[in-house]
Amino acid sequence: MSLATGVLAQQAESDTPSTKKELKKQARKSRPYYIGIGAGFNQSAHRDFATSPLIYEGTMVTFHVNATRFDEVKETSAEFRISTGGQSIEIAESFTSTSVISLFNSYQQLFRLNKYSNDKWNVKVGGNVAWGLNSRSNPSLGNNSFGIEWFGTLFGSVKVTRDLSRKKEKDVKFLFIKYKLKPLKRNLSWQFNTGLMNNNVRNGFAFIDQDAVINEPSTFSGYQLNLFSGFRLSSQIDYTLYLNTGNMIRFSYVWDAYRTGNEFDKFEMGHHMFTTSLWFKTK
Amino acid sequence: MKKTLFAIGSLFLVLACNDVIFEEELASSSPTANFEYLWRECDEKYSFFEVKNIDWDEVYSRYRPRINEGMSRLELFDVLGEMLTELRDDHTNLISRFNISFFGVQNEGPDNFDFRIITDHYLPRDYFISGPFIHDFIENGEIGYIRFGSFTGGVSNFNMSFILSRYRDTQGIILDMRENGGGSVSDIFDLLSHFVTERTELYRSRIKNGPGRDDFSELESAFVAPSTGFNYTGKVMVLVDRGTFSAGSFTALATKALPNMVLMGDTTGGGLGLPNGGQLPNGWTYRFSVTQTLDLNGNNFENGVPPDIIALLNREDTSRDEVIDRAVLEIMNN
Repeated sequence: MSLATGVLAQQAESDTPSTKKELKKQARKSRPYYIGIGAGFNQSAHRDFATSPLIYEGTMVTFHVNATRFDEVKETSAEFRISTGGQSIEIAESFTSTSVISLFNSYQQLFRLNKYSNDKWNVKVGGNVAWGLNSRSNPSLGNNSFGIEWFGTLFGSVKVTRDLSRKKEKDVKFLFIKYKLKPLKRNLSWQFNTGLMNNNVRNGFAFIDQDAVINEPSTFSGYQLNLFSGFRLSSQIDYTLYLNTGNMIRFSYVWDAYRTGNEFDKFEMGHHMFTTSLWFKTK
Repeated sequence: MKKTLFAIGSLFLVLACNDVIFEEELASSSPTANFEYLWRECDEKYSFFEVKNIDWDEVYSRYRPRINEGMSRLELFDVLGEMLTELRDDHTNLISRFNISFFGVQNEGPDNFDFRIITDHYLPRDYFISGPFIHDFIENGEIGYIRFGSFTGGVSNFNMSFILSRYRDTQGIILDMRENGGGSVSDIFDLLSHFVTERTELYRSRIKNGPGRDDFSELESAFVAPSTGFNYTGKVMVLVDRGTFSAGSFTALATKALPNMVLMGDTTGGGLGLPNGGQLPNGWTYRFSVTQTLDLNGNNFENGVPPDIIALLNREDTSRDEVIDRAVLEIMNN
């Protein structure tokens, strides 16, 4: 009797908010945590109508560091990425180039959609907050040679992951060579983000500011904050291989493109990034 | 399953395309497209149409018929460059790899400067060169002469303090900015900070903030504070001419607010608008003014800052610089 009473008391206790919180905390702690570093190439293009109607294109190098905690139920991740290099335009006998540095930060949380998930497929939805800036230098544009703009976006995101793991050892024959393929954990994922709230901070109408002539040098004088301006789309394909150590190797293709709204001269930019990254399991 | 993967892959390929974001390609060698683009950019952003009484629509109607799709790039450059010179502003240029258009405001007035006359008849052979300044005593050590030929960005507290303290016991200084075509704007304040003893308002400026003719920001004041080095409080005669342009004109305008400075010579070339920079659909670049600068009384001297005392060079007499002679007279008479 006393035992039965104890079990009932325990059940009642497990329904309390504090216990739910505790369970969530334990689940979060049990999720694997990875730190990733990666590098690759960024085929990018941009056009700033404030200074030119031409699209500048070029290949930049890109580096990124990531931190992520995920399992089948939830994924939380953060990323910092930097791309740097040159873009140019050649038309008729004119060749013009610009050096570009693009910074990108993001934080996202994704949650499993049980209805569409099973052993093979995992579908998560959630949100992603991204912010970053471009710094551009094009000497041929005189006093307008230096451009800088900031973008902040709230994305709605969906991520679909297909488990491609080889569960059992497999005998394979290629021509006359026979060999065994060991079990392997791997997956292919695709994430699509669409901007729900697109904001930017850009130069004013004249692009240049007059700080120099009034003896008050300032980098962002005349800049304007534009809320709900333009739109942004991005997507990412990751092919991930798990190593015996629990670490991961990931091959990624990221597409990120955005444009500003119609305040005055529009700005457009697109990135195609191909990266390879190493992910270290820290717990 | 394969269908699903195929669907995802197809969706990705469709979405991962910059055409979704980028508007149509506008790169073009078409003379018409480039003419229209340049005319419209000026129409929306150039800052001195009213001040210079320029009817830009009338300019369009005169130049548009000269554009045809069969014209060569040289012919196109000539027409576009000529259209820009209608703005009568040397902050306006069309720039290609084979030519740069310009107005040439210095030719609007007489040549008012010959440095050879000064080195032959005023300065000693071993004159000083301190940064961008050439200087030495003239008039038996009674006056310091400082030649400032270009705003190179090299004006420093050190060289200004060195120069001015050298002439601290003279009757006055002549700061010769004739044919100074401008350059680094920061030099204006580094220079003038040695001629004030308190924070002083020099002029006011505003910038285009919309496509309309009167779309400007609020006027903002330019101040200069005394330097931390040697500051000169004696009389300064600032010599200018039609070749004094841009940063040279800004400095000339600022002298109107500085009681110890007197502007002498010919009207400057103007250039009191900060030029922007842009590119045409065919890759050529251009620039034109997008700001206005007014003196403290609200006068717009874009057509040239007038001198307080007019003095012109007599080209017949190559042994004397009448502008310097007049400046000497002004200093010695006070």
